[in-house]
Amino acid sequence: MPLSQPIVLHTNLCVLVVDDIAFIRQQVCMVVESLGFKTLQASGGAEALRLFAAEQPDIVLLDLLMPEVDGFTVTREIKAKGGERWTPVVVVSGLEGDAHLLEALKAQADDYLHKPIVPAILQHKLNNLAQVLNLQRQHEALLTRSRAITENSFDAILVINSEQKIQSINFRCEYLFQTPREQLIGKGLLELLPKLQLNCAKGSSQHSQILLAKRPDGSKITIEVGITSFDQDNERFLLATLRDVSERERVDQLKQQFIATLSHELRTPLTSIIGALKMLQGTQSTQFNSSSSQLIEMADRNAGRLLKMVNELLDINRSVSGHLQLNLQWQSLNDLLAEARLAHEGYANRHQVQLQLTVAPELSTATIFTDHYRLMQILGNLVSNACKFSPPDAIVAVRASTDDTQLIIEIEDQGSGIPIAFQPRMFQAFSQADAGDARIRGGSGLGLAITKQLIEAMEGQISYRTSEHGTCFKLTFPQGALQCRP
Amino acid sequence: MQTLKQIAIIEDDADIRQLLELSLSTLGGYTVLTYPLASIAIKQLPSNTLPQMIILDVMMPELSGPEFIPLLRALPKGNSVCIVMLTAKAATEELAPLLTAGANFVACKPFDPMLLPELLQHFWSEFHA
Repeated sequence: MPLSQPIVLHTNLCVLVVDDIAFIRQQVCMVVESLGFKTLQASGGAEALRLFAAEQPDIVLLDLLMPEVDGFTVTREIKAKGGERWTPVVVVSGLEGDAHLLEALKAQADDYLHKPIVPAILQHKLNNLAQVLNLQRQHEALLTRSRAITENSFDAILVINSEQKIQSINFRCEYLFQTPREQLIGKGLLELLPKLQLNCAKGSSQHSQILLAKRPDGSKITIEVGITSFDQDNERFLLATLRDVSERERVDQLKQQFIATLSHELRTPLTSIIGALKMLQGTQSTQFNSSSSQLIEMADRNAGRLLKMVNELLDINRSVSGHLQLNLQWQSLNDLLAEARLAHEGYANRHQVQLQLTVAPELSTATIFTDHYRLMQILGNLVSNACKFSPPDAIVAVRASTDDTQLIIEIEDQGSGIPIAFQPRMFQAFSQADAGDARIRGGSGLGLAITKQLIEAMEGQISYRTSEHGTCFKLTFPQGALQCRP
Repeated sequence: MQTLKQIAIIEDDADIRQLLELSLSTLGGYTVLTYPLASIAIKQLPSNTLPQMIILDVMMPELSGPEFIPLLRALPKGNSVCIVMLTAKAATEELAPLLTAGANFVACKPFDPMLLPELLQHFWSEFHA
């Protein structure tokens, strides 16, 4: 039943009319049918009870005084057998006074009518009851629907009362904890989720936590849990949604292992290719004409690119899995920057760009506590990007300075700026600006992602400003990583 | 310090083995012994005159580089051999266990064969420092 459907009165509602006098029974039925109800007729108490059990009418119009099984007995039986289903019983009597009507109400009759029945009163009473019955049906439909959703959810759902005890759960929860419902209900939530942070349960918070859940049998399982709260009858309840993520974690691990293995396996043939090309270039170069030399240079350059991608794949994999380790040592800042400049001079020349290195005077003898290989990688990524995106004859400036609290390294180019659409995802893995620019093709899209993660692993930060006149990346490293000797 | 003359190469990839041999004999002018597997090297190395230096691959079938080292060290004068491990792994955290396993130096693949003799000469000096 669609929930938005308006209430339609006494649609298909069935009234059981009970009277031992056939004439009265038929007259009442005529009135009731004229109001749009279906009717059933019983001429005595025993037949009424039989029909009630067999046909399940929605309303019972019941004469009180009948031979053998009277209306009081029938009322009591119907109310006793009704269970969850509410069937209103309206008793009818021609006797003077209220004593027997009171007795009928005590037997849980819902309403009464005096004989002879006034059709208008009957109509209003039946309409009122029909309204309540329709509300009850809608309520049942809602309950059925919500039960179906809850029970068929792929996530475990738990309702927790204000004493942090489990009040109700769904089927998936039984499955997740491998424990029958009756053994879970009443248990403390923290018995199952010992590491759960409950303070984050706000209105409709979407924050989730990943933690180990403990099954009653002692085994553990990695789950993602989201907690929200709701108020009912002056009590605050928690709604916990649990998802088994152990499979997801296993797949992640497999993926990382696969990438690590693949990267290592790719390095072996690359070692032969790069080595052979280097030897050709080094030992036999005089025997080649210029076009052969160019071809060998091309093969070498591309093998180098392939190696860089394999290395980047390994690096991003390591930093995702938290296996990135730094080899930190005190080193001369000047030497490091000079080395980075030397390493990229050739690259800059190829792009007809001039590399300019400026170190603030107060840093001329400074040492920094850093990982040599990783800092070279950071500077390499940023400097090569700067060269790649600069027009011919531009200057790529590398500047080191300090503001007394931190070391600042800036890499500035004179390129046309970073496209606005690309900026939000430029530090994400496998992302590249989508321009038809041949200069950006061929990379893995991992350079900036790795750069950012490496800088953050060194407790530094990276920011940038960009315009159509150029882009400047600013790296800041904490004071503790910098030492200036007089 | 003796002059470095004789180097053994233990590497299961034939191309890399050949590249190493070319680099060390042609460019470096060393006497080079090559072995396709550590399990073969441990049987065939001349036990009376062990090479001065061994270039040792890490991952090999039958006997890995790290498993080979204690067997070599157990030979007479096994401790006087300078062992350079050659690995495709490059991360700092992956190199340390190789040094713990008894290698004297670790070099990473891919290497530049033009610069390799110079690098090994540097290791040899360090080894005797």
